[in-house]
Amino acid sequence: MTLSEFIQRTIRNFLIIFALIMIILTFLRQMYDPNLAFDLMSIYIIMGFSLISALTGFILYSANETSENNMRIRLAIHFITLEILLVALASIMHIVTSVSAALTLALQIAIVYIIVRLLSWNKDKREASKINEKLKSLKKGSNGSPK
Amino acid sequence: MKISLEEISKQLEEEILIRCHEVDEEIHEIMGKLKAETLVILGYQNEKVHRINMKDIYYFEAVDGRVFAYCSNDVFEVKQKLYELEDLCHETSCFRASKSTILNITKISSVHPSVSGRFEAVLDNGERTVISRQYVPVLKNMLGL
Repeated sequence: MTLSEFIQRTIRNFLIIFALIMIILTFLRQMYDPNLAFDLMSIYIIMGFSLISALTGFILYSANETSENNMRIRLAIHFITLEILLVALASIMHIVTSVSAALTLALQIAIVYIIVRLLSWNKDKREASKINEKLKSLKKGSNGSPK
Repeated sequence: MKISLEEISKQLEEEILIRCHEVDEEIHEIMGKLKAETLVILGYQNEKVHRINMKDIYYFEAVDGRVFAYCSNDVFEVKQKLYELEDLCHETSCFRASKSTILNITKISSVHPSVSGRFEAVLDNGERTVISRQYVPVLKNMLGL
């Protein structure tokens, strides 16, 4: 992937994250507190969180081919950076005001991160299974057996 | 499908002609197999030049500006660049698997997802190589998925 493609993907990710948070918040507000209005500051905070989340994707970008171990290290750095940045931003914005609240937020971020990774891995596993089935039939075909 | 064979004199160039109603996936597959069977790459090893049949190559890899062809137990240096090999391997069973590798589908034993979000191919000789996420659709397309 070229750098320009990666930047395009980062912008797309930022917009998707921002849009999803806004959609979910709108529905939650509709259900639990329909009279409460969105203030401008809240929208800027959500925008900031979304941008930072998308920008950390640069940790996973490499112009050259990287080994599996290197990618795993990058993934760990990505997760830690995301945790630190989001908890720090929440702290600056006075969204979390105590250590326990910060730890709870960190735990929530970790759970979401793990769920996203697991869902992605599960999808890849299904895709790999389809590929393996086709590879098997290809090998059977090339060995002279019927497809 | 009717198969005809015609013996020609040594002066004439040998050729395979496929006469079909429509150039479909099956025809492309036959052409790919024929190309892979007949395509020969020159590989260099210990100052000797070897003729390597395309079907014996597991994968090509570019390392520090040099390109190598990996067979079951041997590694040969090839003089072509990776993009030249990509053109050469067009319509054969090879595909670009990452920025630095071209992989022979017929030598892939299985494919597994990795924790890092990429795919790993296990080859018939037990070697493992990475398939970048962006090239997985190319592999799926070649397999008709």
